[in-house]
Amino acid sequence: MSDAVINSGLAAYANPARFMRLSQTLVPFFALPAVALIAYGLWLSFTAPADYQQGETVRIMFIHVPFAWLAMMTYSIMTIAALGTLVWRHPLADVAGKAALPIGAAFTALCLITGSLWGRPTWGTYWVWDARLTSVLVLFLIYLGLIAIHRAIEDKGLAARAAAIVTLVGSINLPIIKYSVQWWNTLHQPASISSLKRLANPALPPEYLWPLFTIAIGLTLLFFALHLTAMRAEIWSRKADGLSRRMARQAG
Amino acid sequence: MDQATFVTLSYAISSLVISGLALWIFLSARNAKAKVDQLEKQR
Repeated sequence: MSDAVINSGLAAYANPARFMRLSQTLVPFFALPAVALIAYGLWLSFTAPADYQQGETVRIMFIHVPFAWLAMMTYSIMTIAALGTLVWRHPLADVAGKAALPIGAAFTALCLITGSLWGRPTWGTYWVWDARLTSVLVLFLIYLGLIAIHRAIEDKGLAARAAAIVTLVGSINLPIIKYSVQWWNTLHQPASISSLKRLANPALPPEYLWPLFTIAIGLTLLFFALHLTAMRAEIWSRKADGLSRRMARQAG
Repeated sequence: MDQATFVTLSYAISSLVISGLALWIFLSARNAKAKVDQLEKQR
């Protein structure tokens, strides 16, 4: 595909007005199935049998694992948005990256909290400085750092470029998180579902896979509903700032 | 704490954080839209 075709394809979605119309339609399509799937997934998670080894605490897995997936997926989306900001200079890329920050930070915090609450009865401790836990904590700190960059730098263009560079540098942490359980000797267990090949022969029984996937898909749809809404809020906020400045100039 | 308490705590904290986040994002969008509407009316 030629650069011209790629650019014209991207340009079609570069218009914020067009994005606002499209996102208004898309948000309910993501939000309603998200709520239904999460509700059904919660019901499945509480009717699943207790594990013969872990007992009731196995139910924490049904939310902890999706939070971990979403923490990384959100950062992957932010990495693409950072490339969009620096390389393609797409007008919505910076908005997408900034809007994803609080959602990604919340998912990462929940991954750490639920993991800690699962670790105490399973490992006998809330926290260990092993590679998986530490690299996820680093991811959380990167999210907080990026939020701080956006709050500290008044010039939105400068803040967007600085945040995009830090996001790209921080993306090195994603493979470290993913492969930490293979590269180092960790207390954290290896992934039970790490690939499509493994999915065909998973380490988990179906009564655990169903609630896990139902909640994971529900939370993923919820992410897209929240992300689009946060992007709409950011675009309106920038429009309000622009209008205020214009009115102040006209008044002065 | 027994096992059920750890499970309850995990689900309760997650529900609170996700609901709070969703509410904050939807209210932010509503407030930003209202501000734009107000400024356009003033102009």
